[in-house]
Amino acid sequence: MAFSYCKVFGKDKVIFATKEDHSTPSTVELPAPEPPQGLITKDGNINWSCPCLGGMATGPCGVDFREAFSCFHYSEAEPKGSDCYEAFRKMQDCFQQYPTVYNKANGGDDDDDALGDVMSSDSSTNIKDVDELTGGAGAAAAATASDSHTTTTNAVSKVE
Amino acid sequence: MVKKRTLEARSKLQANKYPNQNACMKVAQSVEFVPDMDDDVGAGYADTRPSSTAQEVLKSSQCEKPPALAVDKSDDICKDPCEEFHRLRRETTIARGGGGDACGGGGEDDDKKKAEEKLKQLKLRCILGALAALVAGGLFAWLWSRQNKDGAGDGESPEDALKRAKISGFITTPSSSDKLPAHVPYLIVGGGTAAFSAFRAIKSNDAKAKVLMISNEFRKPYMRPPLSKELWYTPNPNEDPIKDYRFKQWTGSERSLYFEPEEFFVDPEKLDESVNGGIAVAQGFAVKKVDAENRIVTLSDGYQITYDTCLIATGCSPKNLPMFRDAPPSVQEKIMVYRTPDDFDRLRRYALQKRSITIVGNGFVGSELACSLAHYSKENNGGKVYQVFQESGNMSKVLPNYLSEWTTQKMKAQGVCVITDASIRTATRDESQLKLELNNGMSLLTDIVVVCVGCSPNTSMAGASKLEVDRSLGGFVVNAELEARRNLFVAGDASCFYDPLLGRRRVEHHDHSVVSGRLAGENMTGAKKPYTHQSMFWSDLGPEIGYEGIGLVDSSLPTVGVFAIPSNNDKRADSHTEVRADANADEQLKTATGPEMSCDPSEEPNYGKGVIFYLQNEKIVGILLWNLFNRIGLARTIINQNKSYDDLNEVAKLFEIHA
Repeated sequence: MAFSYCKVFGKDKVIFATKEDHSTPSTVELPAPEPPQGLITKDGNINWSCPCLGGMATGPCGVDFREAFSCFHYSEAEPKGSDCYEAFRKMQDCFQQYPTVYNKANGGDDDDDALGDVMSSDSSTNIKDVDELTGGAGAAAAATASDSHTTTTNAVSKVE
Repeated sequence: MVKKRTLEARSKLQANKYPNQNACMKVAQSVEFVPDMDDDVGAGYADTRPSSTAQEVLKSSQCEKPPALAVDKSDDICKDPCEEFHRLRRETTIARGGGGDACGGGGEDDDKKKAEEKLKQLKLRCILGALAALVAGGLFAWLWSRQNKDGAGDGESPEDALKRAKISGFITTPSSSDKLPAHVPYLIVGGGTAAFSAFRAIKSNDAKAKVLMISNEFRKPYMRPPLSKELWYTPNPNEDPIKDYRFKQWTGSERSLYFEPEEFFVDPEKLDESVNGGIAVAQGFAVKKVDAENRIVTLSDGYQITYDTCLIATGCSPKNLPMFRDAPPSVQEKIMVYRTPDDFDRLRRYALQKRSITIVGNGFVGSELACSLAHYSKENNGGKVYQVFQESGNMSKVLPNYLSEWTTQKMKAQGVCVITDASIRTATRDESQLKLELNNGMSLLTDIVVVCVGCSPNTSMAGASKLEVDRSLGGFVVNAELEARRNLFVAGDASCFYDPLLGRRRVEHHDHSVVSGRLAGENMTGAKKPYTHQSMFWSDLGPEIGYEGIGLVDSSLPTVGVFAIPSNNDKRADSHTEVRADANADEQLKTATGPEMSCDPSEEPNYGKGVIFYLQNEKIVGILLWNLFNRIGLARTIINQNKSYDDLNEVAKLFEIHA
């Protein structure tokens, strides 16, 4: 049975540890990691820097996206977002002008922004909001042509 | 891209990347570099091949001082007059020293005279040859540029021709600098990762921001890490260049090297009038001066642009070695550095032609490229891959010595012919190949040399701009908020910044460009934040080695490495165990066993998986995660503690190295 042992090469030390040796809890205590900032800040605002947005807020339709998403996020209508029809249509119109930017994620890769930080954040709790947005967008877009619905869903699914 | 480098995902990726690794290992053993070539096998092997494709390592004896037995052979190999010139010179010196004479009998003095005469003739011929080459080259270049002016491509559409001309550097975007706006709110000098990351941050914080990037490249912003990794594992054999430089990510999905497609960007001539702002890239322009006081940037052609806030993200340029830089053009045309997609295209063409490729240098780019090329060569039945460097192992600036040497063994097993402890004394050229004479007496025939010996920050505008450059680290000196002067920031490779935790630093890594670019962008929109989020780095060296690091991962610091002993079950499940138990590394380890630690010499050292702590004044200042993924956040937390620990094994437990 293997047991832990050590070697020294000048200034460099090496410890070989068995699974058993490392099965007891560590005596080192670390502070709880700071919760990374997600899509929605503590005070309920939208964090446009969230890597989870995958570049949506910075692209050529970033301004329209923000307006639509803000409208939805702060909407008090029933169902939520149903008062955002205009904003969403504007956003969709913009998306259609940039097919290579807003339709590229066909492979379903949600991690398209290569600038995303390694550990940053997983704002999965906040993603719900975007999910709702998808629904809201659907509701809002239901009145319009069906293909625009798809566009929105695609675009927003990129956000997730 | 790196975001989800989980162990599971990575193993899957590695399995995809190297479907038949065991077969590869076997091949590798036969390829191993043999320094002793006094056996006939080497010479005979070289002899059986046409001289133009000789791809073997040759000992000096084969070219410079052929043993009696091999005279004819050496003549075959040394066809080029310049080559013969060197052989002769070597022989003359040997003859003078009274040593053995290889190239025919006769009195010594006579021979010497003859040799000297011949030498003179050869010299003349070499010079004439070089002149002829220059004239021919000039003519060719002239014809070429003429053709391009005519805009004539064979069967190419005008748009394609234009696009190609733009990328190959004939046409700037816009066509002249006076079409650029005279004033922009946000100006970024440079068009790489740090620049693009800064743009993202600016636009996130200022929705309608108008950002102008001035890049001396002829491309839109792109990322570099895949150039030495993923792109080599993405076949697309019929594409040259690969369209949009698509490569397969670990997820299996493809993406482009470019951060965003063309449509994402605003035309520089329309930036001023754009209602919602955006990013425009002026391609092919260089900046010679930044006047921080008056907020004016001057392009190399004298055109001036005023700004509200500016970022310098000029990156760095690959270094060359003096002996290559000063070499004749015939040698230089076989030497390249490696940093851009154009370099990738060029090297890929060589690899496709099954050329033998020699990498000089043992750092990130050189070592990753060596592994990728060895893999590529194996897939395509290509040429040999050599890696030559002065140090005793790969990645010696990062990895502690024992791990560096272990890594080199692994790379050899992948088919890279690694020649350690060797520097290149001279490089000469015959008709088709380069001959590298090494300081250990060996020489190496190769088709192409890729110099990967680091890069130096692009700070040429510092003088005219009256900006401070750090004397020892290089790069523009900035404070903890990455500010050089008011409203003037520096990020990425060119930034020598003050890290409040770890002191003054300059970092050349992709993630650092992302992190520092983002911080600069935030501060350009008024955030006033210091550098607190430690950037990380990662690297992959073939199927068995992937690592990530954070903080000061500097092998000159004392280190403590904690490695997992695989349980018996793991061993059986692990198909690479026999490869890992490397005889060489094993012996070295056993002899170096320290006196004060209790050791079990019967145990085979296995550096398969572990965590290494880098210490400064007893505190943990750097952490390397060796084949451990998805733990960089924990490592960052520990670095931020800035503490010393009595028992680092206890800290290592947090990393669950056996998981």
